[in-house]
Amino acid sequence: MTHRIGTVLIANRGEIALRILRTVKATGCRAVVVFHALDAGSPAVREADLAVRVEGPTPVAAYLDAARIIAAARDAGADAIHPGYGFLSENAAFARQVAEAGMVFIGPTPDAIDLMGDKVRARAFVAARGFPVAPSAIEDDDPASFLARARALGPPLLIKPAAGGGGKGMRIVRDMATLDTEVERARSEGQRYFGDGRLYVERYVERPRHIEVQVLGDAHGTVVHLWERECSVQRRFQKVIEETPSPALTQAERRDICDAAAGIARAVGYRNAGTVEFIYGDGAFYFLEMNTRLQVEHPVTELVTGRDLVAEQLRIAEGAALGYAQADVRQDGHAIELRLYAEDPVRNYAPTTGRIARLRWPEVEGLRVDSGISEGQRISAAFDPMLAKVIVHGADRMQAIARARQALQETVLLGIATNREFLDRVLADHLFATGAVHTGFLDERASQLALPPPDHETLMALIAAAALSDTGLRGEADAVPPLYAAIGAWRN
Amino acid sequence: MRRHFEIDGTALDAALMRHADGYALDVGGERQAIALSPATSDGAQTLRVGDRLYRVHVVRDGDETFVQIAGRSFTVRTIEPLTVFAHAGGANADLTARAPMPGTVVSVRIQPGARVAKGETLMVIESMKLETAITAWRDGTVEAVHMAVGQTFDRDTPLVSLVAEAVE
Repeated sequence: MTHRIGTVLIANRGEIALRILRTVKATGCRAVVVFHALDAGSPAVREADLAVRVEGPTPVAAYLDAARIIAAARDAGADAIHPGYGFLSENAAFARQVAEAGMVFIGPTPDAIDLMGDKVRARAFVAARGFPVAPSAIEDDDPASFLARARALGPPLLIKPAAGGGGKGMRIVRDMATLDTEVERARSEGQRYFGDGRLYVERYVERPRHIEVQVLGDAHGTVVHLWERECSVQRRFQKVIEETPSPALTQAERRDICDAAAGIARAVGYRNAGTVEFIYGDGAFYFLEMNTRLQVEHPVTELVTGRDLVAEQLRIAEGAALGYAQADVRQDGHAIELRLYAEDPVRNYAPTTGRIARLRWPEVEGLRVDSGISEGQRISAAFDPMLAKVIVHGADRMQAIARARQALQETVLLGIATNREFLDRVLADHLFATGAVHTGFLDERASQLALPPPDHETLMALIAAAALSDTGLRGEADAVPPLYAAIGAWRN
Repeated sequence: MRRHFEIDGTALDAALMRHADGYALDVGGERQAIALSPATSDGAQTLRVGDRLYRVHVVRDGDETFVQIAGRSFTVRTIEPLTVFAHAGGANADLTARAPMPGTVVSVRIQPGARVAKGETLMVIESMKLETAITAWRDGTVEAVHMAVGQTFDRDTPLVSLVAEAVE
C-alpha cells in the first residue's frame, strides 16, 4: 500500500528547512514552508514553491502552532508534513492531528513517539528486552525503598528528574553521605523546572562519551542501522562537533552498539529515521534515550554511507520497502560536522546578534555546508543560535580534520561573532587529535582552547583596515596639505 | 585624524595621515605606509601595511569595521577621542577637544598655562565603562580646562582648549 507524496509542507526553519526542501524538490515533489516574519529573508523561504507566513505570541510559538500549520498544509494541497528536528518533531499529538487531517506525518508512529518521549518508560522498555541500561533505581517502582536502592548502587551516582531533559535538575553524587540532601535538591529542581518532583538515580559514568546510532525502519518491519556517530564534544549539554566513525570504539564494540540500537528499534516496531543514544565509558555502553526524528548531525552519516536520509524518510512515509539489508550499508571514510553558532565562547557561549555583513563559503574537497543564512540577514536572539553546519568527508579522520580546518579558516563570515575560530582551536587541539574526548572535554580544556589575542602585526593591520575604510577619517587626512602631513620622522 | 580603535578589549590610539599619493598610519610613533586595494569579484581586498600584504575582507557598518584576516574575523570599533572645534575658514581649526560621547572625568593631568607636547595626556574620561585618554593633538599651551574630576558631561561638551597659535 504505497502512495506517492506530491507536496510536502516543511514545518521548520533555518538550515534544516532548506536541507529538507532540497531533497523534497530533488525527488520531484512540491515544497511548501511556513515562516515567521523574522525569517522572511531566509534561503528556505526563497527556494520554496510556496511559503506561508505564520504568527505567534513569540517567533518560536509560530513554529509550534500545530492547528495553523496543519491548516496551511491543507490549503497548500500538501499530502505530507515533515517536522524536521525540534519544534513539533517529537509531539505525538501533532503526529495524530496530521493523520486525522488526512496527511502523512513524516516520522514514526505517535505510539513510538509517546513511548520514547517518556524517559523512564523508554528505559524500562529497553531494559526489559535485555538491552544495556545503566544500573539504576527508579523512585516510582517503590518510593519507600528508593533511597536504599539508590545507596545500594554505590558511587558515583547521577540523580535525574523523571520528567527531565536538557540536563536540568541533574546532580552528580560522589560522596554517598550527601545523597539525601542531593536527592532533596534534585526533587525541588524537578518540581520547579518540570512541575514533577519524581526522580531516578543511575550509576554515573565518569568522563562519559556520547555515542549514538542512526537507524531506519520501514513499514514492512525491516530495520537497519547506519552506523554510529560520536557527539562527545559538547557545551552546556549541547553538541558542538560530531563525527563518524567514533574514534573510541573497537570493531567489536562498534558492532555491538550498532546491533543493540537496531534491536531496540526493532523491538519498538520503529518506522522512519531515528537515533538511539548511548553513554559509553570504560568499555561499556548504556542506553540513554531514543530520538524519534531526523537528527541535527545526520549529514555525517549521509557522507560516509552515501544515503540521503531525508529521501529515505520520504520513501518510508510513502510505504515503500527499504529495499536493502544491513550488509548493504557500508561506511566509507570519516566525516565530521561542526556546528557554527552565533555565540561568544569567551563569554560562556552567550548568544550574539547582528547582521550578516558578508558570507562566503569556501570550496574545499569533501566539504558540504548546510546553512540557513544568507548575506544581509539579521540574526536575532529569537531562535536557536545555530547558523549553519560545516560538514566534511575525508578518507580518514586525519584528512577529515585537515579539511574541516581549511573550511573553517577559509569561510568568510562578518557582521556577527560566531564560534568559528573556537571550532578551529578545538580541531587543532592535540587531545582532540588523539580522539580522547568526553562530554566534559570543552570545560576541562577551556584555558587551552581560549583564542590567543591578536599579535602586534595583526593589530596594526586591523587598525589600517578600519582607518582606510573610514571615509570620514580619510577625508580628514586628505584635507591636511601633504607637505604639512609629511613633517615628522616618517620616511618610506 | 586621530582615532581610538578598540579590538577585542584592546584599545589603541592611531592617526591616519596623507603621504605622497597614499596614506600612512601612526600608532604610538610607529609609522608605516598603508594601502587597501579595490575589492575583487568575491569581495576580497589586499591590505598593505609597511612591507606586509594581507588578503582581507572588510565591511564597514557605522563605527564598526568587520575584518577577516588570516582565517579570523574581528570587529574594530572606532571612537573619536576628541572632536575638534572648527573655526569656519580659520587657520587654527584645532582649539578645543570635545567629548566624543557622554561620560565622566576620571582625572585631569594639566592646568591652564601649561605647555604640552603632542600626544601628552590632558585628561582621562570614562564612557561606557571604557577609559579614554584625551591627548594633546599638537604642541601648545593649555588655555582652559572646562571640566573637573568627577564631573559628568554630554556628547560634544568642551573638555580642554589650547591657546591659538599660528601654523608654523
